[in-house]
Amino acid sequence: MRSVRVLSVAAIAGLLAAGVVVDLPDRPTPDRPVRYLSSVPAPAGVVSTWFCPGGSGPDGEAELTIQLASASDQRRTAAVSVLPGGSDAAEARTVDVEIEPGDQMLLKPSEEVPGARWVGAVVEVDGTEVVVEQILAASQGDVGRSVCLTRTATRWLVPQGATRLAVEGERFIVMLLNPFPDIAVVDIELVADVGRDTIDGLVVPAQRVVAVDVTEEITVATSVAAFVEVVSGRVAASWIQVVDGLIAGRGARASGAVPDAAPLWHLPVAGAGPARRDVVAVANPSADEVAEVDLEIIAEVPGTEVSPIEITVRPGRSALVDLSEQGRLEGIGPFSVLVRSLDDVPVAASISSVTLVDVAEGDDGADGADGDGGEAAPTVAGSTATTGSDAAARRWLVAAEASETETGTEGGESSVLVVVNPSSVGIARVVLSVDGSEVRHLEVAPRRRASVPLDRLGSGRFAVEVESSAPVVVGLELIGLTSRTASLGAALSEPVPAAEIR
Amino acid sequence: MLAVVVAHRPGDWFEETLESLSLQDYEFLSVAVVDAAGSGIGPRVAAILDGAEVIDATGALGFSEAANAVLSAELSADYLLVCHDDVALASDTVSTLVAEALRSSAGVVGPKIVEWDRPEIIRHAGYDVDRFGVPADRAGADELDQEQHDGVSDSFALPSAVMLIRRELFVRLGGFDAGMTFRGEDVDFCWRAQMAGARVMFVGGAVARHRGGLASRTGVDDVRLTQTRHALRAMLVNHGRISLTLFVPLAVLMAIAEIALGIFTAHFGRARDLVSAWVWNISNLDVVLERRRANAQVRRVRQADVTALQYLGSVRLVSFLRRQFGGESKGLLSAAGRGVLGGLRTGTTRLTFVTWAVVFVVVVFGSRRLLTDGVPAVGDFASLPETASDLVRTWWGGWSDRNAGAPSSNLGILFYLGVGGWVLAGSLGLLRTLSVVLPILVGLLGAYRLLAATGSRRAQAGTFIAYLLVPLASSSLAGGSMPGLVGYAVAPWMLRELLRASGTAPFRSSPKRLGGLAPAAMSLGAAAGLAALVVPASVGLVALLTAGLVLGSLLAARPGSVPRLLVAAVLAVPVVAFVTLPNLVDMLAAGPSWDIVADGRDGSAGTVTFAEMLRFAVGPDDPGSLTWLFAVPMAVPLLLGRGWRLEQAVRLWIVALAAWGLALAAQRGMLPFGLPDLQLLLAPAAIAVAGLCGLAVLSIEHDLRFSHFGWRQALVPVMVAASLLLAFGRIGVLETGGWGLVERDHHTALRFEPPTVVGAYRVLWIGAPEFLSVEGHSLSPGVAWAATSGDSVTISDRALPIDSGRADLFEQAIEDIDAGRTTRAGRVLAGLGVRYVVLLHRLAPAPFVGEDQAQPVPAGLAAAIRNQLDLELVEGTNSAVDMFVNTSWTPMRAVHAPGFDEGVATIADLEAHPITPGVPVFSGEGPPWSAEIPDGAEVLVGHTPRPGWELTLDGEATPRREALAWARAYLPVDSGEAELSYSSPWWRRTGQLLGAAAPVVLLLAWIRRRMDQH
Repeated sequence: MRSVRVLSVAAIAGLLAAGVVVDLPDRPTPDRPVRYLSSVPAPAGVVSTWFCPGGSGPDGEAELTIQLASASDQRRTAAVSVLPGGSDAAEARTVDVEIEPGDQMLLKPSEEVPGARWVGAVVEVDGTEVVVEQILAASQGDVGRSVCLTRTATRWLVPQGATRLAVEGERFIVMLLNPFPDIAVVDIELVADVGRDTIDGLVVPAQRVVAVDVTEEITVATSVAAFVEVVSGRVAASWIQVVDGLIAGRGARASGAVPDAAPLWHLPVAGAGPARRDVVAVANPSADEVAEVDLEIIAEVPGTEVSPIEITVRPGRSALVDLSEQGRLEGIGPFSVLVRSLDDVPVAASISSVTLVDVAEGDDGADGADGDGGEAAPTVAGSTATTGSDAAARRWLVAAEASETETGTEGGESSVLVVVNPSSVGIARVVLSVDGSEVRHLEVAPRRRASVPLDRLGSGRFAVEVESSAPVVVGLELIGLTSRTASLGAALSEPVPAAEIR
Repeated sequence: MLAVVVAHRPGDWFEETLESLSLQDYEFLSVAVVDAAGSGIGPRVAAILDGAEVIDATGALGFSEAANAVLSAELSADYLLVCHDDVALASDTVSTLVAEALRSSAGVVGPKIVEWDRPEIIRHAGYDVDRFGVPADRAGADELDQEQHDGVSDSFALPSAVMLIRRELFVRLGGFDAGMTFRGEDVDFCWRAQMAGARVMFVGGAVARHRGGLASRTGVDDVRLTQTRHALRAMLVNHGRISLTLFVPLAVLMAIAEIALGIFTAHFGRARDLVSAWVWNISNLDVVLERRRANAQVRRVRQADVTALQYLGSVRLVSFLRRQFGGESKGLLSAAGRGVLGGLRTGTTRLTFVTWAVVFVVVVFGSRRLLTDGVPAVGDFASLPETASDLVRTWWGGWSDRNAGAPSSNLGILFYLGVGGWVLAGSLGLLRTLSVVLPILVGLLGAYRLLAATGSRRAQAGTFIAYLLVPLASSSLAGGSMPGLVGYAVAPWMLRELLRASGTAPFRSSPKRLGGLAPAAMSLGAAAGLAALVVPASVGLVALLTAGLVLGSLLAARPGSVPRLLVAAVLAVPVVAFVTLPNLVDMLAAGPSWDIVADGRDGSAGTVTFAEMLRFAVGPDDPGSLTWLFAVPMAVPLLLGRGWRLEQAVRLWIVALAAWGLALAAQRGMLPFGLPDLQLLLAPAAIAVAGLCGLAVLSIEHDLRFSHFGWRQALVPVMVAASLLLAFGRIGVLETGGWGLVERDHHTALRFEPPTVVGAYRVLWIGAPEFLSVEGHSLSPGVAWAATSGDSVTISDRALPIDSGRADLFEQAIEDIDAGRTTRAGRVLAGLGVRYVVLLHRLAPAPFVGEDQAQPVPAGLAAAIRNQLDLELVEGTNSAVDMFVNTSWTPMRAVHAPGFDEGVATIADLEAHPITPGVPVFSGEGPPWSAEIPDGAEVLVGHTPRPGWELTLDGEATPRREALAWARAYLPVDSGEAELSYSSPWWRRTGQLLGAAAPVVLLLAWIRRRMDQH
């Protein structure tokens, strides 16, 4: 009996101790897969939904045109819901359109809601092989284009804008689209080089768009970042920069806002040279953490190594880096920029690019003419802006266009498709297809980029499908006679965080 | 003094009877022998009692009529000593009786009657008699004569075996009731004597041996018949008019119940005797009236004064209950033969009574808010339908509306709740409250009975109190865990039966090798099966308890009980299968399903720590650190116990550790499958802890004295102090009157439109499994989903049908939402009839449940749902929920235009090809539903298509086709009155009927066994 007692007490004590020991380590975290929500538009599902926060009607600052480009071999149907501005009397309206295989289509949503000052659109396509872009044409000429968004969010960041209305004719407008059947309420914090301002409790009515003219809130700011917090509901957001000045350019720049900050961003299309001035904007939405950021240059020319540009972005502020002032970038050719937050403080990045032409090459040269008839000073022909990509994907879709006789710029530049391999160890084997046919094979070395002139891929308006053996970032630069627009593609496969790619 | 010996063909013992009379020390005793059979016993009498007179009563129909023969005989005596012919008096019996009769001025006195062959065993010590005329012997079964009855006391009645009667009284009362041939005449006579103002005294100092065995002498076993018949006669004759109007209806009701019980337990003889007794009395109503008139002549005492001397309740009922619950088979009203309430005079019985009273008061007081305000529909405590008939109809319908609908035998508890509702006259609120509170009392009763085999009431009380103090019941209530409550209720009973089956001391009930095993296994299976009627997963407790006891037996070096335990568990399986036959039928039809066990869990890790499990801190409220003090009484039997007490302590410790271990494995995410509520898993640990507390009491009672003076003695005050602190620490749980259960449920925060107005719809619920009112499907770690039909969730919706139907469509839709593959999920959900999507972040609305107790739906999923363009968030709802209205919704059962689902090859196609809302035309609670169908329309029925559904138009079945790639569309050829109905197959209904009957059959079998045992 004594032995039973001793053995039992020992066993029970041992089992209790074992329970305590087993329970000491931290619990395994739930294996629920965390879906990465990147800034890259990524249509998914049976019906892919695109949110185009939009622009103005025909009489406004930047008229909205929707472009649908199909890479599908089947006829696709799209339901385009045109959402008027919050204060407009017009009601939302839905039209169904059909896109033939491999075709592209342009729509002016404002025609569906006549009289609406502002207009946005929700495009629901029965398939993923269609990319939807919004094109904003300013009255001053030139257009801004960007891929529409594929999701709504409760937070949006706009890293860059300017409101020098008097000097440069700059208007900075944040577009908010609420596609849901219930209202949304947003708070907007505006951080400018001249100070801060906030807009609280802004109501975005159900199935309406609201244009927030930042120019009316903060004037004469060279740099304005907007941080949008959705208090109730969810919205999609983009921004429009209308410019009409000697330095800032002329026309409209537009891009989607980014839903969240990230420690690493790719800006696929960038350059430095006498004919362009590219400015990278990095915003730090953190309330109390300073972001130490490196701008790493990914050159296209093999063997070109450029030391990174180091900047510091204070909490709640944004920083601008004019690449044209970086001597180290001279002569390296086209490149991409990788914005890396060294201490993982999340930031948001975008790039704007202004095309400079000589007076003689301008349209009429009136505004930029040098009065004494000496050597023509460069003046502005067009501008564009692109938010960065915080993710990479194996499949992309790009809406491209190229004339049969591509003009290009004086420096021999032409419209190009840019593929960036963010990996530092692996080669990306890329196949480009148009209308279902493979038209080009590429190999992109680690941490390199490759560009393909669009006229080598097709003519007119066409969709390019990019398929890669490894996650890549795809951008597009369209160069016309007097304009330059850059944009990202749309990811057809699940985007993976760029920061996690080794 | 005249001794009247009524003889009827006496056997060899008769001489001894006569000799005992001849040897009396009372000087003036003369003897008359009534020869009831005319058998010529004169010579035998004369051989021993020379002067005795023999009265010929040939033709007398029984003892009473024969004894009454002395009335007509001209015999002179002041007292008559009426004796049977099979009694033997002690030499001083007559003198003692006479002395007491004179001293007390008693009308009737009687001696202590002992066994003929075993005079140390008391057979009769006077009768208590209830108001139905049924006597209860004041001596216990086989009660040893230790002079405990040797005093003199008033008694309501005395046995006629030996009865000293004042002759004048006997004459005045007209002797015995001649209609009472045998048995019962003594009760009747004494009752009338009491009415006449005579005292009836039991004289313990006088002793007579009685042989008995009348049935064997007459060759007719009419004991039950004559007892019942004559008791009824006594009641009818001797009650006053007013009291008769009260007791006759009661007697009728009891007779009906007893007859029904007799029939259902196949004791047809009992039923026949009861019927016969009533028929006999009714047919002899004239005699009854005549005797009532005679009684009126002799009555000297008020009726109320007489009935005040009688037992207040029913001897037959108490006898029945005592037999069923293991009481003594004899000495019905007396504990240890000490009279009606004598049992309470003993310390241990008083302890039991006081303990039960205190616990009952605590439970009632602790449940006061639930009893007065009802139980909120929190967690598993789903509300009940509007009527009891709805419950039975749902059960019988053979269809479950859960998710997309599926054939189901439905839980048998629906049937019993429906019957309960009828019994309570439709008060379903009370029924619901009882269904939550009663499991606690059932569990406590089981805990009390757990250690009954030890014979220690203190140990029983210790277990009982400890089980009340274990925080499992309160945490189950506060957490809205029905599995926890069911586990709390059945775990003690299961453990008790397994201990009985183990055959270990002190639970061995039979010296035979396999003795007692089958009954224990039967009871074990019955307990598990009944629990499975409510929570199917509770069957698993049998395996858990068995595993614990097997391992405990091995550790205690008593492997002999292992085979018995395993055999008992195996033998319990058929019984469980019998009770849960409907589930078995469903499983055979649709295949096994783990979902009904896991209740929406997927085996991922939880948040409860091992330390919290040891303290049973698994509910919303922390029971406090004082719960650690259970360790003190739990350690006592390990440290002090000897023999079987130590062995059982080891077994119970291992049972507790097994339960804790399994719960720990589940909470650590170490299992590849989900397990039910933590409270259910911990129920074996709770009863093991309580049992160890009882064993602690036993160890102190029995084992402490063998220890030398030292630290062990200090354990007693330490244990007492720990117990007091434990009790003190648990007082707080009584504060709210609801065991910590919140006062409001989500339904006060949610507003659904009535389906009768807008059309039938479904609600998709997503949240932590414990927050859902119904059993859910696992969605991701810590998240489950469920779909219900209509604007309220009732207990009818609680169980998952084993046939999952097209639940996969809901899962696919949710996965698509979660993966961001759609922004038009409302269209797909509309195809499933979903009008509302509700995300539950807390068990109950704020502020009743704080944010610290929230388990929000994962942010990614919540955001994905908010991303849907056709799910409108309802603003202003409580922060504990997010409620969305599907703006694309169409009714589940509605009329559509022909070809309404054209282009829909899979349900996902609805995203691109949404259907226009149909017209809800079906009305009423169904199935069946009826409606007026317009011409040229199609009828969409959004149920899992299974055989049995039919739409009839003017009585004719209509053709049908697949709609929305999963449901059905009926194609009426014309307009007219249509009926949509579902008919369950015969085999499912057979299973339902057998399953519903199973608990009744088991109950009756158990009762019959108990009755046969006694």
